[in-house]
Amino acid sequence: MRLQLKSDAVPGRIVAGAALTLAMVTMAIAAPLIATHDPYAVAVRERFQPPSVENYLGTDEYGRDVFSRVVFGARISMYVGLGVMLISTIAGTIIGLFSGYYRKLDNVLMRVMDALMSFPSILLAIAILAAIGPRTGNVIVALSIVYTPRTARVVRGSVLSVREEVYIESAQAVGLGDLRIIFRYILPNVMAPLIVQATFILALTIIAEAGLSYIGAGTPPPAPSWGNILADGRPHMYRAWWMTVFPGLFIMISVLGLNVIGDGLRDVLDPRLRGSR
Amino acid sequence: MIPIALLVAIIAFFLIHLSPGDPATFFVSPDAPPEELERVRERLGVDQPIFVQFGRWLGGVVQGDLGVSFFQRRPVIQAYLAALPVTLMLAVGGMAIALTLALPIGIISALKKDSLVDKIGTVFVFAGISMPNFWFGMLLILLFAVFLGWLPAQGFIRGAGLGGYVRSLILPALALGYPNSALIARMTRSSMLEVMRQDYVQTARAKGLRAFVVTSRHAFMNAINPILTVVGLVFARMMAGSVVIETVFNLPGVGRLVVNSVMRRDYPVIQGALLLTALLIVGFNLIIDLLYAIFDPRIRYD
Amino acid sequence: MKKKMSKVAVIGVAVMLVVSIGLWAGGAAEPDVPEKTLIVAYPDDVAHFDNMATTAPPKEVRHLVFEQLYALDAEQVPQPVLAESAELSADELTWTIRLRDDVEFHDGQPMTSADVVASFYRFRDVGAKAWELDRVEDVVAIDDHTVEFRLHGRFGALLESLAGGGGALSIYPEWVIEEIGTDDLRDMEHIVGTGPYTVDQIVPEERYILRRYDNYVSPEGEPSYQAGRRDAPMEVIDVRVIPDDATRVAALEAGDVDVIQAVPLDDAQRVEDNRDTYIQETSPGYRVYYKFNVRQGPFTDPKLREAVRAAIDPYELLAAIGDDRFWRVNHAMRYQEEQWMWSDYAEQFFVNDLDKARELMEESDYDGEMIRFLASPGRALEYRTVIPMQNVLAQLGINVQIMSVDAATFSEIRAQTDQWEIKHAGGGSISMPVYLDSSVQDRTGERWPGVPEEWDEYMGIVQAEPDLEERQAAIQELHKISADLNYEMWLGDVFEIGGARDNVVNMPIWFKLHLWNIDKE
Repeated sequence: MRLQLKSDAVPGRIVAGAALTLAMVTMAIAAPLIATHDPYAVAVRERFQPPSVENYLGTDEYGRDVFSRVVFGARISMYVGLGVMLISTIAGTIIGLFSGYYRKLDNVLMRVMDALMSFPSILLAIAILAAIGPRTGNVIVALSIVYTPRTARVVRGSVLSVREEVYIESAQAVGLGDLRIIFRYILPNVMAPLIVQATFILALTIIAEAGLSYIGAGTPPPAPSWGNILADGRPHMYRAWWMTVFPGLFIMISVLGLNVIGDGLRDVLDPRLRGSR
Repeated sequence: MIPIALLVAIIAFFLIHLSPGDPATFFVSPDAPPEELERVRERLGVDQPIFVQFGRWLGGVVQGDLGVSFFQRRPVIQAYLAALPVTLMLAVGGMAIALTLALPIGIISALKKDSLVDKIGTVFVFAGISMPNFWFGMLLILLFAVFLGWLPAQGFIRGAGLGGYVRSLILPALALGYPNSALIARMTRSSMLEVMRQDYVQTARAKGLRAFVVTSRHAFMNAINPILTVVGLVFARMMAGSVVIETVFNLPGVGRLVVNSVMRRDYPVIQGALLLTALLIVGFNLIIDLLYAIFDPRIRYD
Repeated sequence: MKKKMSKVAVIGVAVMLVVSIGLWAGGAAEPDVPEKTLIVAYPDDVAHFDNMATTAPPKEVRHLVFEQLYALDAEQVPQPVLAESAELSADELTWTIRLRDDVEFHDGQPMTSADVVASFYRFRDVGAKAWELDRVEDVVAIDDHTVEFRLHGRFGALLESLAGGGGALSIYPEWVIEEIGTDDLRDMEHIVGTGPYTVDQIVPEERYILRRYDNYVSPEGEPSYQAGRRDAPMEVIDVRVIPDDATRVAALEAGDVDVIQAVPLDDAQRVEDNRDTYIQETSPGYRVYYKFNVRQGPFTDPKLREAVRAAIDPYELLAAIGDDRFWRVNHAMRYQEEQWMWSDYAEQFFVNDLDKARELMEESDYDGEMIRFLASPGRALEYRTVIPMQNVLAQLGINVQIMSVDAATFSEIRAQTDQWEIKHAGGGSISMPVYLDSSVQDRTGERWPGVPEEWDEYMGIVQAEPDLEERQAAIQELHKISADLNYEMWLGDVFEIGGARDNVVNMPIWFKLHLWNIDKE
């Protein structure tokens, strides 16, 4: 049943979300043009300067320009976010397709996915990063491992409902190969929830990356990741509130954009998924 | 459940033993010479080959013995049980706040669909879900501890009585609850909208029952199952989300236990805590499934 | 109707569950707290009380319970604690130590020679610094209150080694050692020492409650660092573990705790400005320095090391640590300025001359290889200098990459000399003789190449010579050799800062916060 909530405002929402996201992506790409300082340039005697015309968002405990660091931080967030989104979507799709189609594989694959999902996500990421070392690239690996099972589950769920359809049965009857059926006939049918899921994973990843850097398990300092700037600011909250407030605002704006897109897309593409993740 | 537990145990063990790093260094001063380190390594048993260590550990786990923490010098199970209630209470408090925010917003949004109230509610919950909960926690500290000075940024001191306990959990619960309220509010809204279109609600209205009665008894009670699903999901997310929150607020919960243990390579605690938490989540999902059965007589588990 | 009943039941059960978890977590009621209670917050967990087996901080808490034969005073001279006197034989191969006869353990039994002998044997097996007593062949009880330390080599520095802080030889009762052997000292019933306080309650990672031992008899003398009188005006010392710096300071400001250890340098001013709190800075307790890899890589070239040292402005680097009131350039091996410290280091070597540094660079063999700069945010204090340091290296034209790892990984990688070219380091300012060797060897204990022979001569004097002044002169020489080698580049020493509420008096000023003698008005 189509619900009425699909109000006329939906396309508008997606546009607004896309505008926010686009702004962030632009900032990441054009970081060297937008930033006013070298994000790594140390000026120890300029520590903890409040926001001013010279330093829009103040300086940190090494006298580095917070605005420039935040701008360059968008690069790290986008890099990690897109990386995780791509890897976990591809891996999750393949696993989900196969385990939904081949019931024998299902048992093995889904057990592993269940085991991975039964760890609290951030703890699993922390443990993986401890094993492979905290580097930006490794954050992508860790978060991909964490989020792949979610995508796999969503895809598998869709496959299970599609594979009983008449046209799949007739395709099998005609003697089409399994791979052909999976990729030609099933995959297009799971695209809608997949796209929604990918958007949300991008949003989740940006937050998770910041959280990992914040507790010291993610992108190592001195790289200007948003989580690192927040972590730098934590001991200095009494002195330098700007180190805490601004990086978080940037995280919030980029994630907000993505969440609005995701929610809008979900309404448009697949109303049945409403409200779940 | 047993194969999952076994998989979880294996993943937990090898993940953590693959990491470079040496727990022994935390027992000595930073410039201690190598002889001193070697001695500590022997005492901890981390000088043994990894498979020997795995065999020992698994052997213990099978008998219900998770080993002894390197640092706390007490059985892992005790360390875990000391930390668990803090995390559980944090999650429960966070859930209380999330529900307090989400249910009214969701219900009103559904009743006044597309009105200004609906839109404001939507923006409010979306803003919540879009911020990192630890950042929101830091903002709360800035506001209430640094600028207003009403509540200390203090962590949590055991034995400070129930009042002090609640006091120290208010900010972290807020930090955990608000960002997680969005999912529940959205689900409440859509599920209410769906139910309100059903015949029996229309009938109740036609019978002239008061709007409040219709909403609360007929509509809400019937919309509760999908909401419950999301509440389950969100609770699990809160258990996970509390990891960073506990670090921000310095709360001695499971999250901080694991983070500290990872930093110090307290292998027995990391392995044990990951395993126990995983089992807890599996168990929790089971309970949610059972709750469905109670709330929805159509579902029966044999 | 039945459906509604079950819903009510479910909700009721849930509420009961929450309340019971809450009570469980809130814990039992506050233990009996007398008026004379000092609440102290430390950044580190006490972890365990086996004082002879660990050097990890905070040893000050363990020192409330366990004592040693000797302790260092502020002049770095060993003073008797459980001992009364010591005498070296004419052949310098036997130390005869008289024990005090008024010492009693917390179980009420007097301390005798048998306890010292048993403690020595356990120390040899589990002692964190067992190797410091390598030259001791045996310890023998002569009578109830006399022991002989028999040596297999001259060891004039014995008393200093016995006086070293955490991880030195502490005296446990013989019966405890018989029961636990080399196992960890873990059970409360075994934590029996001779100190002014006993352990009352342990909540790992959170809280340690120590109660005064009323029959305690203190050693005599003016209090000075770890030596002298140890009064216990406070009935209870309640130690809280608060690792997070900001939280610890907030706890002090809110009055939740009376005293905190390790006020972050950036917060010191605020604690000082607060009407209800004050800070007490101690002698510089922590030295910050850098180590070059001289086994392999570009820094085997002394010219390049010299170039780095010439380019540095130590004041600039240390400014990243905090206010210049709280650190000083020039590391002194022992903090006795008039006597035997090495005070001209900075003037002589840190010329802060980029042109000269570039000249040296030109003369060196460096041709742009990647320099791996090993660093760890887990070592919070010295890590602050990393980013300015990287800046200096980059300015010099060195191709540098920071390898930032957590503390556990840091300690593993630093022992692997093929993994890094330069790294930060830090440690206590007071170096026992054996630690001197670490400035010319890598983390596996192997000598760096190119150490001159005199090094061993002077080390021999430091170990063997009974005359304090001769030993001090030798340490001075070692320090000079080390400065010339430039394997280690010393930036300076950072002060420890304690914070306290206004009503706390007698805060100590030596190196670290000591908890005996502290009083509350």
